This record gives sequence, C-alpha cells and structure tokens, in this order.
Amino acid sequence: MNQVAIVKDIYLSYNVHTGFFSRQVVNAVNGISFNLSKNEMLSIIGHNGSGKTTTLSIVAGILKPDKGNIVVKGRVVPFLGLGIGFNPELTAKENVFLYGAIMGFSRKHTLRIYDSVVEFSELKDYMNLKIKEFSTGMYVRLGFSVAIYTSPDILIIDEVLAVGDVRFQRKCLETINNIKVKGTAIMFVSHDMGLVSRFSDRVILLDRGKILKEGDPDDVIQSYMDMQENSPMLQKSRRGSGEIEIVGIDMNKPDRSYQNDEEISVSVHYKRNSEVKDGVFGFAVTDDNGVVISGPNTKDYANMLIEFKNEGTIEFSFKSIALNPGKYFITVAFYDNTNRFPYDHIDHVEYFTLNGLKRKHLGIMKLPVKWKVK
Amino acid sequence: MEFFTRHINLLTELIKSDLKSKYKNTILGFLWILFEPLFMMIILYIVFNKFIRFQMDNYPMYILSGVILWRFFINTTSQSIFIFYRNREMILKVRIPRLLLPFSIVLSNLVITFFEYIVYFILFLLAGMHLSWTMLFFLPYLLLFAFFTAGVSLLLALIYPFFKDVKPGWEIFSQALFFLCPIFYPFEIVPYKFIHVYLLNPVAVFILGVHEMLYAGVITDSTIILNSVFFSVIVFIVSVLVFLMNEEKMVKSI
Repeated sequence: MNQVAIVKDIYLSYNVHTGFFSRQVVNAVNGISFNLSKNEMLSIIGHNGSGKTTTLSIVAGILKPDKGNIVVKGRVVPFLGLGIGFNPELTAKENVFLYGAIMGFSRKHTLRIYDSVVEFSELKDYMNLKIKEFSTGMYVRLGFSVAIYTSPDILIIDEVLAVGDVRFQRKCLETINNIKVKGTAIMFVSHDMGLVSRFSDRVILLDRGKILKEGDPDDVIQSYMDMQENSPMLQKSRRGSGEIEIVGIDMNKPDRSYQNDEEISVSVHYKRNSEVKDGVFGFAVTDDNGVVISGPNTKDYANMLIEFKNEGTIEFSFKSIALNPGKYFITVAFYDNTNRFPYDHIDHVEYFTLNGLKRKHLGIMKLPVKWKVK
Repeated sequence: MEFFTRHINLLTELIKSDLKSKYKNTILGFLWILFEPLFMMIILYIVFNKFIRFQMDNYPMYILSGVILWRFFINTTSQSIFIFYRNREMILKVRIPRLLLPFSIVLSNLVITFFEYIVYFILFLLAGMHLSWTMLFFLPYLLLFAFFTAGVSLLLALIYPFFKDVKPGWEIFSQALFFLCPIFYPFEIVPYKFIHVYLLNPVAVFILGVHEMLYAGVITDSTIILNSVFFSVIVFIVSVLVFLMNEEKMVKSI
C-alpha cells in the first residue's frame, strides 16, 4: 500500500527530576504501533499527558524512541508550535528565510515560494515589520504559510491552528484538505472534536501512552467522550455571602445519563442562615468547554421571587431537546431579590451526560430543521 | 550534496540572524564591529603609553593582538552556553542538526573577530610596524582556534541543560583563565619553573602563537603550532563525540 510511515511498537520514557537526586520515570509512549498512508489524515486524541505530542515528535524525527521501529518515507514537516525558530528582532521577511532554512530548504527554494507564502498569509503589508510586533495570530499565519508551501509528504500539526481567527483557520483546513487529496499524509492533534470528526479519515485515542482505540472518527471520539465522563474537567467553585446555603443536590437519575427527550430533574436543598425574606434562584447548563448553553432564573423566566423558609427545596426540570452528545455541567445559585448579589453560587456542581444523538453535530446542538428542495 | 547545501544555508541564516539581532537595533549598526577594537585601542594606548610603561615597543598593539582573540573565545563560549536551553522550543519542535546552533555562534563571532583583526592591521600599519610574511599563517591559525572554541562551546552548551551550575562555574573559571594568559603582561615574566603548567592552558598557547605571528612577526615556534593543533583536534573531536552520545538525553531533559 501507499504507506508513508510505519510505526512499530515504540516506547519512550522521560526522566523527570523531582529533586536533586530523586527522579521519576514517565513513560510517555508505551508500545504504540500504527501506519500512515498517502492521502490520509490521521488524528490523535486523548487527555493531556496521554502521549500525543511525544508520538508526533517521534514521527517527525525530533525524538528517537527508546525501543521500537519507525520507518518514514519522504519529507516530514512538523508544525508543532507557534513561530518556532523565528527571531523576534528580524523582520517577517527575514524570518521567512530563516524559517525556510530551519525547514531544510535552500535559499533558492525559499525565494521561489516566497511570494505564494506571503500571499497565503495575507500579511503582505507587514513583511518589513519586525516580527516581535506581530500578534500570535500573525505568528501562526506566517509559520503555517511557510509550512504548507513546503510540499511535505507528511505534515504534522499539533493544536497550533487553535490560535488565529476563524476565517484563516478555515482557509488552513481547506488547504490541508487540498494537499491531502494531492497525496500528503497528515497527522493531526487537536482538542476540538468537531475538527477531528470533520477532517479525519482515522482517529487514534491515546491513554497513558497506549492506543485505547483506533478507527472510524465518530466511534473513537465517542469513546473519548465516554472516558471524560469519569474525569470531570471543569472546576467546582463557590462564592456568595452565605445567608442562604445550598446543602444538597439530587438528580432524578443517579447515573446522570439521559436521552435527548428525557426529562432532567434536579432538586436543590437549602437552609437559611440569617434573616433574608426572598430572593432569586437560578441555574445554568454548561458544556464541557465551559460554554454556557442556557442560564434560566426564576426572576427572568417566571417573574417569581422565592420566599425563603428556614429549610427548603427547589426543584426544576428541563429537557435537553437536541444538544450534542457529551458531558454537561449544572451551576446552581441563590441571589438576592435584585438578582445582583449571590447568597450562594456553586459553579459546575453537578453534571449529566447525553447519549441521545448518534454523532456530534457541528456546533452545540442538532437544530430541528425542515428541508424543502424545490 | 543537497543535504550539505541545505545545512550550509541553515548555518548562514543562523549566522545572519545572530549578527543582525546583535547590531540591527543600534544606530551605528555593523560599524560597531570596527569601533569596538578602535575604542579599546584608544584606551589601551592611554593606559599603557602614558600611565604604565613596559619595556616593549608598541605595547598596546601587543595587548590588542591577544585581547581580540580572547574576546572571541569568551564571547563565543558565554553566548553558546545557553544556546540549546534557550532554543529548546526549536530543538523540541523542529528537526534540525542541533550541532549547528553552537557552531553558528562560533562562526558569527568569527566574522566579528575577522573584522576586528582588520582594524588591528590598519592600526598596525599606522603604528609604523613592519609587515611580515608570518602573518599569512594567521588566518588558518584563527580557524584552528575556532575549532577549539567550537569544541569548548559545544560541551558547555550540552552540559547546561543538565547542570545550570556550569554557568557561574564557567564565569569564574574563565576569569582565572584570563589571568593565566599572556594578554596584559609579557610571557617572559612567567617564572621558568611554572612554564610547563602555564602552557597546559590552551588559550595561552594560542595567544602566544598570535603574538608571534601578528606582533613579533617571527616564525612561530613549532611546539606552539603542534600544541595548538593537538588541543584543537582533541577538544573538537572529543566534544562532538560526547555530544552525539548524549544528544538524545539532552533533548529529553531540556
């Protein structure tokens, strides 16, 4: 087959110094094997520290595995960080030549691609500016533009595209797709599951330096999501003046796993610590990136103030309609009757998971759409 | 061959980038390369012609010939010591021959040193000193010293990510080394019984060689040449080998 990289049972460990004489061995990559073919985009996903970057670095030839074999055919161009090798004191133009040299080009070659690089980066008016004046977005643009014009056989991209504006990011992804069609193999690491799902042909899920799952993007992404449910990412945090105190929360399903049309019901128990008459209760639903999906409260939604008792319970329920599958967090809060000052506000105190939809749709939900073709 | 030209290109780009970032933001720019030895000469002239007098003709020229070489050595080594550590992003994220990083520092300093010696020659002629054919040996001799310096620099740069102590250690050590070189005093004042120990200092040996070629204009003593070659070859080869053996370890712990 058209295989451009064959990775066979590689191992790599670091020695991390924890003190002057003590060290700890970190097994970053723990027996990984995979192949990479022409015209293929292979994504690697996993938690931080699961060995993604180390694996990319090994394929890029930057790190040598302690054990195992790796065969790479053709030119590998790694794009693992922002403005690597750029000298901030030099102009953008001079840096293109420096970066070209770092990428292993002759000056002639860099000269040949220079105009296209500038055009692609859309930084034509800034090329004589010192690069230290550049924003991070501009760094990415320039760096990526050089990398993409290197006509690599294997292009390795680690998360960097997350910086920079969305339009340029789309342009990069389109270009990546184009060079993929022309034969380049691409290895990609990202925490953006939407990107991974839309562009990858195959996905590898890493956990503690081992391959947990490999194959169809949506399947593997789903397994990754399931994994995350056991390790919440958002931090619980609490603030407020304490007149009203939340003492307990119950959910109607102990396993916190719901279908899309299922009712999610939450009971919040509180007690009153000092004399306050009434106030507002609210909650918010947040996705696993911390994006607030919705934040209803009794004042705005029902023009209702809660008459506090010494001990009481507020129950609310809602349906998730068509939110994408994944993990969601619930924030609950009691505020004063002006809805400005918190008595007790706990972020991400509870969570639930949605399994209803088969796959993750672009955005946060599946919009109920009626299509009509005329 | 293509491999070779690519590396040459990377090396030139790194040297250019280093020189540009050193001088580009200054008003005088690259003229600084010429001014530095000139100013130094003025100071030396005032101090050693008016205040302190040695029984030696053109004593400031004697000092300058050695001081330029010393500056090359000390500037290169003290800049190289951080080179891997400072460029760890680059080392971890692109694939480049890492040896070229310290070597580019050696070469960019060599360019500066070359121009400083041109100023030296101009002053040499202005001082009414006589040119000698022994000066022809100077360029290859300087190159030889560059190999020695490259060896030392590479070793220091390799050790630094593991032991940061190497930096203050090197500062103290190189200060001692400076006083153990015949830069500000004539070699003749070194007592005879210490000479063998004194000549274990490679930099002192090189400076003796430079004095003979550029100042005295006599045929350089063959022991000096042999010792210089010996030091350069050994130091360079050993440090490249040590580097290659420990490169992976360094990359991982950087």
